[in-house]
Amino acid sequence: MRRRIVVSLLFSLTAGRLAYGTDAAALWSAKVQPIFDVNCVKCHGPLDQKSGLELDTPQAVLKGSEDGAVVVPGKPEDSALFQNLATKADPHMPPKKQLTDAEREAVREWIAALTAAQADATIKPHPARHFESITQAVDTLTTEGWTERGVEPAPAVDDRTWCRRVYLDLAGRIPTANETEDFLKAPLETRRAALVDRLLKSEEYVVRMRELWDVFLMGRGKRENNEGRRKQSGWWTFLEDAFRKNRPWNQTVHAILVARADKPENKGSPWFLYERKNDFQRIAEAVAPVVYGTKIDCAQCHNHPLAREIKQEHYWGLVSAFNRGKNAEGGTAVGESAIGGFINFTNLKKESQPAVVTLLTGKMIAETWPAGDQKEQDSDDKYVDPAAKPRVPKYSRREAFADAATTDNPLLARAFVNRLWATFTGRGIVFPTDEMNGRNVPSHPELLDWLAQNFIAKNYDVRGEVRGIVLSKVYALGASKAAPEAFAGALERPLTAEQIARSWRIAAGLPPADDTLRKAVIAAMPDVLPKDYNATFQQAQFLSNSPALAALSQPADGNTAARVAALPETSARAREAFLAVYGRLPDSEEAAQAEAFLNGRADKPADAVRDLLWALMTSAEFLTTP
Amino acid sequence: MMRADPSAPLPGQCRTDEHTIHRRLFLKGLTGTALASATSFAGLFHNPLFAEETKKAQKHCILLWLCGAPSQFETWDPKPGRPTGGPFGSISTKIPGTHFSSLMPNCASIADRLNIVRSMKTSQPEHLQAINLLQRGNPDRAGFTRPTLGSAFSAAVGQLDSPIPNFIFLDPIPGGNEFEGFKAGNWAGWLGAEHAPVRLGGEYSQLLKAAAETIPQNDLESRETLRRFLTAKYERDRQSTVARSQNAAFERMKGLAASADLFDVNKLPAKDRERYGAGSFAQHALMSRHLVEHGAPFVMVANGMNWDNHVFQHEIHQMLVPELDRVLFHLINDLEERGLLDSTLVIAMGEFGRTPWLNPARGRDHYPNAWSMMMTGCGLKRGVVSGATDADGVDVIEKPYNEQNLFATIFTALGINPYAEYDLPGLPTFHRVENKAEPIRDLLA
Repeated sequence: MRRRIVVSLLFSLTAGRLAYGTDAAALWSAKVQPIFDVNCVKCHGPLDQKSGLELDTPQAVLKGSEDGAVVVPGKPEDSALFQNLATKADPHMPPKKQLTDAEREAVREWIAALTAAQADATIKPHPARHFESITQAVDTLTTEGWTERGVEPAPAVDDRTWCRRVYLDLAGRIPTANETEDFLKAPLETRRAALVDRLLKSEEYVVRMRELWDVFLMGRGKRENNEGRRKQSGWWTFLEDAFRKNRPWNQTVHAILVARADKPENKGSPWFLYERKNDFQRIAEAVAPVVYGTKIDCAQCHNHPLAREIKQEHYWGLVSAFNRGKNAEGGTAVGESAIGGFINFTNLKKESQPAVVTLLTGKMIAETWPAGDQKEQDSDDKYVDPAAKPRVPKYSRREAFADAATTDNPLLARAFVNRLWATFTGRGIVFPTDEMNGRNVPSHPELLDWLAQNFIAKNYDVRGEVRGIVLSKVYALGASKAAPEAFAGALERPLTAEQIARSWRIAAGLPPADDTLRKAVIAAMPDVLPKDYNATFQQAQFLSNSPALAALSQPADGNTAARVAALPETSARAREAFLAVYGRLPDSEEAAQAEAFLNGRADKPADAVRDLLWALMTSAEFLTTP
Repeated sequence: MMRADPSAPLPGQCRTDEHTIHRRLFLKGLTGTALASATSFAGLFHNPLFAEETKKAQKHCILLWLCGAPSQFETWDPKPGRPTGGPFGSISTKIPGTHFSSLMPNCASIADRLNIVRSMKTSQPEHLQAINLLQRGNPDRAGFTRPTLGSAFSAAVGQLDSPIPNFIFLDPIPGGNEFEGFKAGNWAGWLGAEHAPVRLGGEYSQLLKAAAETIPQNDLESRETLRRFLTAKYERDRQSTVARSQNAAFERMKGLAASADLFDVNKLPAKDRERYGAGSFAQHALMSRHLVEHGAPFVMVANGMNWDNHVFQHEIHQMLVPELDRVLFHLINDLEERGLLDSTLVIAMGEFGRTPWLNPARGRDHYPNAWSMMMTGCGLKRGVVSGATDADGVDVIEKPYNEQNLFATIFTALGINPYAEYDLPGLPTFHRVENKAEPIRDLLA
């Protein structure tokens, strides 16, 4: 069973190399695969293999059908795969549909670019390399990636921008003017590491990580009272405690899956299951991205149609792992029965099989299934303490799964480091971040492997992983036009609601915490690391009309608006406003516009300053990680 | 996914002419005032040519969403004299032989222009599941969120950048038990957030003007011009898609804000407001007519979950049904007078019906087994009663229809292929209506 992981990992590595190493591979993933996915794979893929042909990977295409090869590398006109797409071809593919000329041309182009050598490509894993630190590994392997892709990295940002970036990422807010000045005055050689270390020890880091992982694990609460329950149940405290004490990530996940408040540090952990109200499919769908790095939702009804390693038994096995649980009435405990929960699932061919707990790594947790006519009897001797509430079974299926998922499961570490990488760079090494499966090859396979293995070797040291990434060269780059998966520049990262609320307060010259403001911004702008960013008119409406935001730009005792309005010169006002909100001085064009704006309303100088601050605080630059 | 017009701009993209306009304004500097009128929705529709074209091409839908679920006995399918019939009796209508509840004299007088389906038979007795079923038109499939009717229509209309939203949801009551849960959920499903409804009406409309009350209009415009300058510069310097998307969102809001009067009940003609009645449902139903006159493709009107009368059903229906009766009467008349009924589908329904029997609190409980709804306009026949229930209204005895039959009819009326396949990336295959469910043929011309 262990061999299966290795094979699937190697497969992804090779595919990753091909993806940018050769034209044919690039054509495949950019053009051909999307066409086949939509038009062909339903009948020629993991679910069904009509004529023995599969078209979901280049290797499968090259393998051909039961009638022999379907492509002749370099010769599209001689390839059945291309011939059959023609309008009057017989047989004609796809049946009852006609691919457009552009689509057929893409297939032709791909076959033409194939060479015989690629058709024979064998799998060569990269040799394991040694690096002194995470930062060194990241720097070396991303630099190699730039060379391989032939891209130039963007120039690094200046210290001022870097300082703002790292405050936003680790403290969840922009720095104050004093904090920025302190950073710029500190010794050049050590100041970045010193700042990162200081922030990583702060309570702000703890809260920031809790905010992120609350959303990653639970999603945004649909209604405001979700937040209340998460807080009251101790869930937030549980997460904060884990990040504060740098609890090894596998232990944190173990506690979440076992869901027993049996130790002080596990208080609050059951809420992950509890909030899902005995809906075991929802639980399974939430657990999969955490322990496997990929969603498996669609394997409910059938094996994953595109990612061939994801089978129905993984989905229903995961459901089984939790289906003996039951929320206790009142309170937040999740009990577990010692018996029952033996379910069967049916595939598309209506064949039924037992849902044995089966991890995506291939590991199975075997149990003796009761015979068909046998009725299981529950009894006190099946529980550790029959009087306890809730009772803990002597054999806990949930715990057996938690043990398996958090020891000797490389996917757990890969999922976490990919998520963390995405958090600080704007994109996972595998993208989409929570779809780490055979369909989505890593942009930097060796880096992902190394980071994950190192994470395990360092006992799932979360803080160390964060530190390594934010001190790397990649993290310090400016914007670039190169393809995002090259990580040759900083990708755009819109701020989360919490970052916005606190940063608005800092920009206004106030202490960062304001719960009312935070909740208002979350309601209006709930997204965290969205796959596609789409500003809505409701957000614009919120930015324009929110009374809470309007209050921040009103001059009041000692705040930024009052301080700026008190300056005698228009140019000084413009400069100070930019410094307070953007943390930088305006360039000449910006200064001219801002001064024209202030001068145009010289009759009401305080209102003009208020509106200048509003425009800065609602602009894209402020609302994006620099 | 289905895209009506592949050359249409993607969500968040602006049309090129907008860019030209904006660019010119930037070059001129901070001339805020011109911007609002150049792109205002009202401005566009004051151009008679444009309005005429849009009206001709566009089909519309007004969905009066009677959430909580009205009683069929006190509306379209009375059972006078039967133990289940309740106290109100029935009256004859413009359709010979057909009676409505006596609470609906106005609708009775225009019954020849309505269609009643008396044989709805669905399978979900709980609000949230039933709302999902009757909003999305097909049974749930775990792991996949199907778009609601309004979202599906929005996607079929395309034209996301038009100044009036494709899918407007007027619901003056923010809360409402299970309906509140539904409202917080995913309306657009796999079609994406751009096809989610724009929620207006009640205090949501007031938000369009909130800032205007504290800051003078000129100041608002100039601060927005400055914000736009800063964001556009950032977009230019950084090739920022976030910035582009934000400016598009502000532009959209400006379009809406410029036509904020359309969403303000106080700005509706006083005579009309009087005719429809003072209740918030009536006022927003009137607003839906007004919006359709101005080109809105899909307007859904709700009023919280007020039809869910488990307690004192007769007393409360005695207040609610006459309002519905009056609203439908004026709405149908008004649309017809304006030549819009032929292109506007009007639907009035809830998520199920009510039990034939009363519970101890003199309420009627949830009943999906046999219930009624009304729809007319948009090329449907008029004056048809389809299906029937038994003497006590316990079961359907003729032509049972489920949500799929209903949605096949609605999509057909709206000129959209009901069985079109959603081309989703990957499997499984979904259709607008699954199982090739038959439309309600009695209603189709």
